[in-house]
Amino acid sequence: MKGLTRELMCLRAANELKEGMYVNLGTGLPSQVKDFVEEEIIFQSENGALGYAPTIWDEELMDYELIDASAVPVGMKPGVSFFDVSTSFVMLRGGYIDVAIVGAFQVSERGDLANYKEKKDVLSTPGGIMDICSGVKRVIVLMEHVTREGKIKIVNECSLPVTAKGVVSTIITDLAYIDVTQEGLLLKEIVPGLSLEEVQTVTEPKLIVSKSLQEFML
Amino acid sequence: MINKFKNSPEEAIADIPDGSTIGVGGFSYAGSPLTLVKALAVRKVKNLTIVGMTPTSYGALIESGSIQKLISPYPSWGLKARHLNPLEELWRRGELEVEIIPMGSLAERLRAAGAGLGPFYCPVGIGTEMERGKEKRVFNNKEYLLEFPMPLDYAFVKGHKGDRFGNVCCRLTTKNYNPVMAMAAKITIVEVDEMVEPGGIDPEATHIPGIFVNRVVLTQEKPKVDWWLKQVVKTKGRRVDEGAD
Repeated sequence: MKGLTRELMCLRAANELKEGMYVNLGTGLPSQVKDFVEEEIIFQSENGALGYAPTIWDEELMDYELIDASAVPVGMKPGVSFFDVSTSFVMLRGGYIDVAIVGAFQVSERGDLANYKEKKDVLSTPGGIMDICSGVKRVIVLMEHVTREGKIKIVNECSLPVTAKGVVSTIITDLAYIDVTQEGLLLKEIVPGLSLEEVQTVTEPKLIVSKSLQEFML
Repeated sequence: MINKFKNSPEEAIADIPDGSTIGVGGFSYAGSPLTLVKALAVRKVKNLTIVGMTPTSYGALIESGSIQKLISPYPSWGLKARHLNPLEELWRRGELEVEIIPMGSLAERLRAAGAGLGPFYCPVGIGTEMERGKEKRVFNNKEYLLEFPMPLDYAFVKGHKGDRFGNVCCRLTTKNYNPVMAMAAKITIVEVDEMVEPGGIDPEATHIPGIFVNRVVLTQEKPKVDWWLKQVVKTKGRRVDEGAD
């Protein structure tokens, strides 16, 4: 099944962001979304930065004391501010952040998020994601539709430990754009060349197809 | 004359007994007090409870077998780095107790301890395994968990500049847990890149006022950033550490 490249996934997620929004990005793929925006969007990183500039790729310019929450070196730009974790989580828990874009191992039909523990005997931990989900206005999941082994990630019920209950409002994958609604999962966009049946076979809950279903908005 | 400067990290940590609870600042390598951590690891102190974000900060104390219990939001951070591997092995063998705590809840528990507050209700972790053993209460139709303050015997803090009064300023994203740990501890020990005269820190940029600080030493230990830089470049910044992808 031919899906979007990781760059195009980031671009699709970036299209959800509007000028002036305050946005927190999770580790992994979501952290790259900041490199795909042109408008003035203020990114917040839970380790204590607001309004930082995109990733630094030049090894000479990398500073280990200027990083985002993925420990990736980022840049400075006018208007950036730095603070401690107490202030940072006031922003996150207190409802000041408009959007969080996070990764996931599983998302359920009701918007439960599981994104910190793949296996029981592996030391894998939530970091700040539980705090982020408790206060951010809108949580968008950005992930591959299935695992590398082809296992389904959008499920009826999460079998992995849940990070936060009923918090996900939108799922963006390499194959589809899906809104979590009271009635169920609403399929709104699909990758060109893919049939509805093909998307349904890799999605456990029955998808509701939007009347305005369209190809990915890129 | 007030003088919180100590001549060496060894002198600054000399009185720390076995079984102490120590907060270690830092997030990844940023703001990690590696000099103090290393000095304590060399002293072979036993049965410590360590409170801290990432093993990149307190790794030397894992290698030295000094930790009995780890309280951390992200103990799996950076375990692909060879020097941090023992943590997961010790945990699997049951030789190291690990308590997972959400990142913001830890910040607020430290702050509460420092600020003289009692327990507080926090919504983080509702509906997850973090609920276990915690009192749950509903206010205005929203569920909360009762969280307790987390006082520390000692805090290890990393600053950029420090003066003899204990005033500290921090560079860029190195503040992270450092200010709240300094508040939560009975004894706060800070390592700085530069010792300055009083007045050498802009009073408007004093991130940790000296009242929270007991001892100040000079940083000697530089982080092993080579591994980190390689990971950033190799994974195009995508997967520097463990975490959902």
